[in-house]
Formats: sequence, structure tokens, C-alpha cells
Amino acid sequence: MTYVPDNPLIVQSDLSMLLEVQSSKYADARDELLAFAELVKSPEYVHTWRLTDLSLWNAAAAGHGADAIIETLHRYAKYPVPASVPERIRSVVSRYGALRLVQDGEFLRLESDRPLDLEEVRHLKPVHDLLGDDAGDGVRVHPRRRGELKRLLVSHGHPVEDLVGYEDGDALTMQLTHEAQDHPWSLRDYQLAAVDSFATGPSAGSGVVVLPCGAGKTIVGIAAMVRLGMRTLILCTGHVALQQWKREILARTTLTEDDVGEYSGRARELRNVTLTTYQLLTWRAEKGAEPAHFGLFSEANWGLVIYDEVHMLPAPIFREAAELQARRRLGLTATLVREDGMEGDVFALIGPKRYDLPWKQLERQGWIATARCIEVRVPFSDADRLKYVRSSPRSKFLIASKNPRKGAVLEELLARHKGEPTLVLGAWLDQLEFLSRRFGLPLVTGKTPAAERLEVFDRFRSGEISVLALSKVGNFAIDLPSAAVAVQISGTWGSRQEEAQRLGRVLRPKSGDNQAVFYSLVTTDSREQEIAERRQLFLAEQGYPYRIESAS
Amino acid sequence: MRVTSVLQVADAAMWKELAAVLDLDALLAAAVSPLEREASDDAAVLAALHGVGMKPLVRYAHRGSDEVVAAKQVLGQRIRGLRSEVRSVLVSAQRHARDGVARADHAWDPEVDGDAARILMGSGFLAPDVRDGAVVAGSFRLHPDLPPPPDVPYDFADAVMDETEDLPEPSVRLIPLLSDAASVAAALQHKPARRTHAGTVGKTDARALGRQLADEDLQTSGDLETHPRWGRALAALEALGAVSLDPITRELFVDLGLDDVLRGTAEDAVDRFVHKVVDHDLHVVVPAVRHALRQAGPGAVDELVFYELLGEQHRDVLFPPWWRDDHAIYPNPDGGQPRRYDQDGWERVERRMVKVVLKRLERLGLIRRAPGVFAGTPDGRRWAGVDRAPPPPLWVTSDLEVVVPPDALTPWERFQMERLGRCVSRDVVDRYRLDRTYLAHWLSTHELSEALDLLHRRAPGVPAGVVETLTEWARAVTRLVLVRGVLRE
Repeated sequence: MTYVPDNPLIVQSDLSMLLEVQSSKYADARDELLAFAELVKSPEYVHTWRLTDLSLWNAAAAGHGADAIIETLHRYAKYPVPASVPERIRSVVSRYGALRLVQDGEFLRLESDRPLDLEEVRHLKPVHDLLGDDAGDGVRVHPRRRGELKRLLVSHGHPVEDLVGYEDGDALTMQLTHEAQDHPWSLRDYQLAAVDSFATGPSAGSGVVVLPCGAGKTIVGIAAMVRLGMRTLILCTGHVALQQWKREILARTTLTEDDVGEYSGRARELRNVTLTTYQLLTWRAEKGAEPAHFGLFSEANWGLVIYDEVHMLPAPIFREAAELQARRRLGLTATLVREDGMEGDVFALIGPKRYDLPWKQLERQGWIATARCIEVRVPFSDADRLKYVRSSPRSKFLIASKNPRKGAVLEELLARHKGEPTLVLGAWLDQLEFLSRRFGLPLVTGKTPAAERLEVFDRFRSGEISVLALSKVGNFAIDLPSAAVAVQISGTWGSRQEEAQRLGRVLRPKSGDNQAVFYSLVTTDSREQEIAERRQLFLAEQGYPYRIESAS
Repeated sequence: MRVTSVLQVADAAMWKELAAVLDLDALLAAAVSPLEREASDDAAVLAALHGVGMKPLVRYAHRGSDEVVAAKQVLGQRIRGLRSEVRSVLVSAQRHARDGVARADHAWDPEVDGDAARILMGSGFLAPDVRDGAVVAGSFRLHPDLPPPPDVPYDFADAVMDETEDLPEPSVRLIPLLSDAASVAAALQHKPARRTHAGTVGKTDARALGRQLADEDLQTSGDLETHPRWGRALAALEALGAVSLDPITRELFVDLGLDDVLRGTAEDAVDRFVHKVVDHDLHVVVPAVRHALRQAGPGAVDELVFYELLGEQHRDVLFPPWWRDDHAIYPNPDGGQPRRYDQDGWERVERRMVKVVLKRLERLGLIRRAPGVFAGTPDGRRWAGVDRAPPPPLWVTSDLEVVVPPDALTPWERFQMERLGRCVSRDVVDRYRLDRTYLAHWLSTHELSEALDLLHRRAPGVPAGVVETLTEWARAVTRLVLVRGVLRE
């Protein structure tokens, strides 16, 4: 095979792949790649995908064989597929199912059709400690070690096909409603597909659904819960997110207040559907003590555990999650990439990725708003420029970040978007407090009491207030669907995902032209500008390039 | 006229900013414009600026490409005004010249063409070749802005035949080699390397080059000369005379003239490379072979017929004859026994030399040979202009990445790309990341518009955000510029 210019796919020897967006075969190729490859980034013209061990194991778990995957690559390849790639695919795919975990009386058994594989893993030191005596063709495993064993084996390149199955939790009768807040609603196609991918099929009942910010992951979680019809524990990122889940469950299902409990700092309600937070679960009475509330996992006969924003799952909870292997588990996230690189643990302990949809696809279908990202370059005043020039390198970022001229730019932007629901996001409390006083903006920070936060958010949702200032609490898990404009007056060094999460605040679909705008104010010719460029790369990779405006 | 350096600011307000941290009057001379001050001791100026955390862009004054084109046009008009016999001597000199230098005894007859040569020298088209302060007898430099001479009207149609089965597959690829040479040259510009006294590039420097070239093997081994890809590329650069060794620092540096060798299409770059590496007195035959390949297209060339046709049509391809006593003789600068410029001479002298040229071209991977026949390799056919498919596009994305598929760039464009963007991986495609540091390096010798032209020319589209980002970076980088080599009264 030589060069086939009409084909859209370039397969590289490092297992990365490039998909040409302007090709007539792009959409077909993309749909097929979703089954066995990770979308790494999707700017214009060419999207980058990658074949990873996890993506190939996910594919194998869903029934895709190596030959089919290889044939797909050859069919769409523009250049000859490097010889090492099919080899690697076969090697990785063959590992899935090579080790199996099955029920063996009151214990479990790790077995394999390939004795050498079993022998190899028995000699891995941390794995060896989790294994029991020989049992038939395999090795005995205590049920309590099921999750930890799977996690360790994945980390050593040996995925385990878990055939033990699940324990059903207490049954719970509930239905989805057809109206919420006096508006008719139904699951969108992709939400239904996501629920189906989790709840049906031979290995259903555990896994992760990946959907962009604003795409309705909460609805997917609720629909999955209703589909299974069992008692459910839901882990949220914080109290605000918890309240949002509760509100949605009550609005979109036939469950009542008596069915839905809050297990948090304020209340200890253990009910059929119980919402709690990662913070509460990992709280310790004193340093070194066991987390005080881990018992929640075993206090009731849960049929389903939902991990919201699973990419943020704290490491200690992984250990407990390891104990929950007998329960169905659903992870929800906008991005499966973890800053600590523990994606493999998510695969082992929560389950494989079941559904993924690129941001831009949802935007094209109108399910999330079309967003413009604009960087507004704000110059220093002469006096501040001199102050900046004279300051130490460490101080430069802060001085640039808090450039007083940003206030005038904010004023101009607020006037430009007068009447549109607008969020003002910042990293520095003193800066936010000053601007809040200057423009009369309600301000929510980490110090704002929970009740007051909820009240302010409700007023924003209802339109009573149109501009709201938020500190880093606004980075994630706040549902303000009407927000159409976000102005980031300062950002932290943080992970690139902070920028993406902030953009996500305005991506919920809007009426009218379904447009959103995200402004980032950056001081010209400063350290802040250099840092901003790095942060913006992530959004550019998702297909959200920045345009640059200069403040007048 | 004197040569000096000038410190430029983008905005007059910047002088205040500089004055806040430096004693400007102690470092700089009086202003030559609101935005420029002369910096006679540019090393001290640079040190002072670095000392306060400011890093100016350092550039050398250079002519823009528009100026070069204009100069060529002016010369072209003057050439058209020459008498035909003078013009033909100039054309002959151009055809025989290499690296802008022609040997008189190969290019013209000193008796018959002496007046024409003197007119050319008087007009500035030719000048004595001076090296190390001494004139090289019989050697002349051509004006650097001369337009190329007209093509020789060869016709080898009668030599075209079908390919034979005994023509071997090529074992060498020249165009990828030139592309790799371009990459190594750019890497050396970013990260100079030193040769050890053993004559090899030191391991530390080689590993650094490996990082520049995004080659993990080289980063690990630190062994450049034996690297199957980059070692050959370095050798190609040396064959081109494009790298020099500073005898004191032992640093390898890339000759500024490499741009001229690689410039233009891949075919142009190959052609210049061939002219450089083929023996000095043989390279003038190369266009004849190229023409034969072009006419052969996908076919082959009967070697015997080729020689005959070459001798019939352009016998003087290697040696314009001298006329003495109404006889044509071979050039005889030493005044010894003249040799008749006859058919026997053609068979014994030129034909053998043409054979040597074919051998050289075979070794360079441009032709394949079997007894009595030669044909183009894929690179050779491309060099000859046969069946040139349009190159695939490269892609520029908003995350400042440039993705370059195989054959998307000419060697010159590769050189530019490697100077403009950091290579992050080489595989089926090569990926580059545009970044501020590399752009600053680019701006030290080029304009931003040239970078944007390269991207626009080769990509289906350049995201507006990328253009804005590069423009912004260029603005930031050129806020403060130290220009060296400025001519002032």
C-alpha cells in the first residue's frame, strides 16, 4: 500500500494517529475510532488520537477484536501502517481476557488459559501478597481483595476480565418524569446512548461516561440509576454539587424528598438515594486516623455507586472503591485525564470507559453552546509598568494578574454584554472584592456560607441578578445554565483544566443563537501573558482557539 | 561609512522604562531617531540589559528579499543591453561557474573573447577572484545578483527508450537526505555543537542536537557521526560546504549561504546540490543529463545515443574550443602542444568525462544504470520535473502545532520550518510546536511575514488565532532590538 490521498487517517509508530477533518471520510473514520482509541485533542484540520493499552482493553471489553481494529486502520490509512502497530495491537488486546476473575464458592478464583501469564503475575511481589492458595487451574482470591488485585494487575499491564458479577442492591422503584420545572423533557440521543452503553451488554454495570461540560452528565447518572432500579449512593465534589444533584433527582424522577437523603456536614440522612461528598468521606478526626465516614459504603445494600467528576476522585477513596467491586459503579467526567496519572486505577476500580463524545460534536449538534474564546490584552499604566519592571520574577505574575486597568476593561465588557447573564471569575480575593464593591456585583467565595451561595445562585438562575462574581469555587460543579458570558479576570498557575472547567460554566445550551463568550483578561508583555498561553493550549486542543483583542 | 550597532525600541516610552533601571547615557550614544540610539559597544549594552532581566532581540542588518529581486531585475536589463558576443561569454561563464566562480580557460577563449571578457569586467559582471588578499590567476567571480542563464536547448528525444529489466532499484534517496541536512543545519543554528580534537561532535552536544531533532536514539547514544540518518545528513552538509569549523572554539557553524543552496523547489535544491558535489570541471554536463531524463519521462535513455546527440548538438558543453590558426583546439592555458578539438578528442576526453558524471549521478541516487542505458530514480525524475504530483498540505492548528506529512516540504521549507518551530516528534509525520523562543530566533534573521508566508503557502488554512499569537509574540520580541552591522556615515 502506498499513499492514498483521499484517506483521512495517519497511523504512527508511536501509536498516535492523526485524523484529517476535511476529508470526506472523516465522520465515518471518527465513529469507528471511538470504539478503540482515545481522542487526545481536536483542534481544526487534524485531530489527534491515540491507541493506549486502556483504550484497547476498553475495546476488547466491548467485544472488539484485534483483527477488526487493524482492518479499520488499514482501511482508512493515508500512508502504510507501520508494521509495529498491528503487532502491538494484537499483543495488548490479547491480554484482555487472558486473566479472568470468577466466582468459586465463597471465594473468587483468578484463572487463565495461558499458564505463563498466571505464573508471571504470581511472581509480581505486590500481587503475590493478595493471592491465596492454588485452586484448580487458578489461584484463590479473597473477595475483599478483588478491587485491589485488579488495580495492581492493570498497573502491571495485565487487565482482568471480571466475571464475578454484581450483588444486586435493594430494589427501588422509580421512573423518569416527562416534565421538569414545568418544561417537558426527555433524554437526548447521546444521553440515551451513554446510559445504554453503561447498563446493557455482557459486561454492563461498571464504567465511566465521558461527556463535555454542560452536556448533562447528571441526567445520564440519574437515568442510569432509574434504569437499574436499585438503591444508589452518589459521591459529589462538594455541597453545591450535592444540592444540584438533589434538585435534579427530585425534578426528573418520581422519587420524593423522603427517598433522597443528604449525608454531609449538615445532615446524616441515609436514604434510598443518598448523596454525599468526597470531602466528607475522606474527613479524618485527626491526622493518621481512618476516615470517619468510610462506613457509609457498607452501611446500606447499595445497588449502584455513582462517582461524579471521577477524574477528581481522591486517592483514599480509591482504596474504598476497591472494596465495592461487588456493586455496580458509574463514573462521570468531562475528561478522564488525571493530574496524578491514575487513569489506570479508574479503569480497574470503576470500570472501563463506556461512552465518550467530543466537545465539538456536541456543539455542532447544538447540545452545548458555541463558544468564542477571546483574550483581551490589557496594558499596564506607565507607573505600574515601572513597578513591574523593578519587581522580582516571583512578584511579576501577581502584579500583572492584579493589573488595575483590568477594572476598566471589565466595565467595558459588562457594558458590551449588558443584560446577558455574566460570570466574573478570578483567582485573587482582594481583586474580586474590590471589583465587587466597584461594580456592585454579588460575590461568592469559599468563605460564603452554603445557604447564602445557594440563594445567590438561585437569584442568578431566575434572572434577578445578571452578573455574578466567583472565586475559584466557580471553577466546577456549579450549574448556572443561563450563563452566557464569562470574564476571567485572573487565573492561577494551576492545571490547564481550570481554564476548561471555567469555559464549561457557559457551555450549557442557550435559547436564541446558542452562543457563549469566554473572555480572559491578560496583561500585555507580562509573565501572566506567558502563563495564559500555556493554559489556553488545552482549550485550543479541544477546538476552542483564542482570538486576541487589545484593550483600548 | 562605518559599521555600528543600534538599539531600537518599539515605543519611545520604553526609553523611560530602560532609564529606570540603567544609565542609558553611559551605554548609548545620542539618538539617531526617536526610536533608535547608537550602541558602539554592543557587548556592554547586551550585558547591561541582561543584568536587569531584559533580553533584546539581536539582529543583523540585511537586505529584504524585495531588494534582492529588484537588484536582479536591474542587472537583467543591463545584460540585455550587451552585444550578443559579450552576452554569450557571460552565459558561458555562468554555465561553467560554481559557487559564483568561473575558470576563464573553461569559459571562453582568451584571444577571441578577450575583449568581451574585459567589457564584462569593466561593467562589473565579472571581477577578479581574490582569496586571502591574493588574486587567483585565471579565476573570476560573477556578480551575485545575475539572473540565471538561459537553458541550453538540448534535444535527446532520439535517445528515449523503454526501461529495461536490468535497471536496478535505487539504493540512495537524495531528497530526504537534503531534507535531513536542512534539519541538522537548523538544529546547529539553534544549538551550536563543537568538534572534539578527535574530529567528532562531542557526546553532550550530540545529545543536545538529538533533543533539537527529536531523536531519542541520538539523545541516548550521543554519537552523531555514526547515526544512520543524522550522521549522513551532517556529511551531506559538509559535502555542500555548508558547515565550517571555527579553528579556535571548534564550534561548527552553518554557512549563511545554505539558504541559497536549498532555496526554491526540491528540484532546485537537488540541482544546486548536484552542481556543488560533482567535480568542478564536470558539473556543466549535469543540465544535459537532467534534460535527457525529462524527455525520457517514465522511460529510459540510450546511453550511446545520448553521447552522440550531446556531441552533435553541443560539443562545447565541457570545453568551448579555442581557435588557433583556423583550427579548433582544446583550451591550452599552459601553451603546450595543442590538442585538436575533433571527434577523436570527443571520444577520448569529453565522452569519458560525461561517463564520470553519470557515475556520480548514480551514486547520488538520481539515475539507475545498466549496460548501455540509464533512467531516472524517483528522486531523479522529480529533479528532472517529470510527473510531479502536488505535495500534500501541512496543517497548522490553534494549539500552535504544525503537522508536516511526508514530502509536504521542500528542503528549503524544511530548513525554515525547523528554525521556526520546535520539532516535537518525527514519525510518519513530523510535528512542530511554534513557540516564542523559536520565533525570536527566526526574527533574528527573518521577518515575521516570511514565516506567515510559509505557513499560508503550504497549509489549507492558518487559524486566525495562530496569526495573532505569532504577531503578538513578534511584537513582544521586537520591543527591544539590537541591530548589528548597520552602515552609518
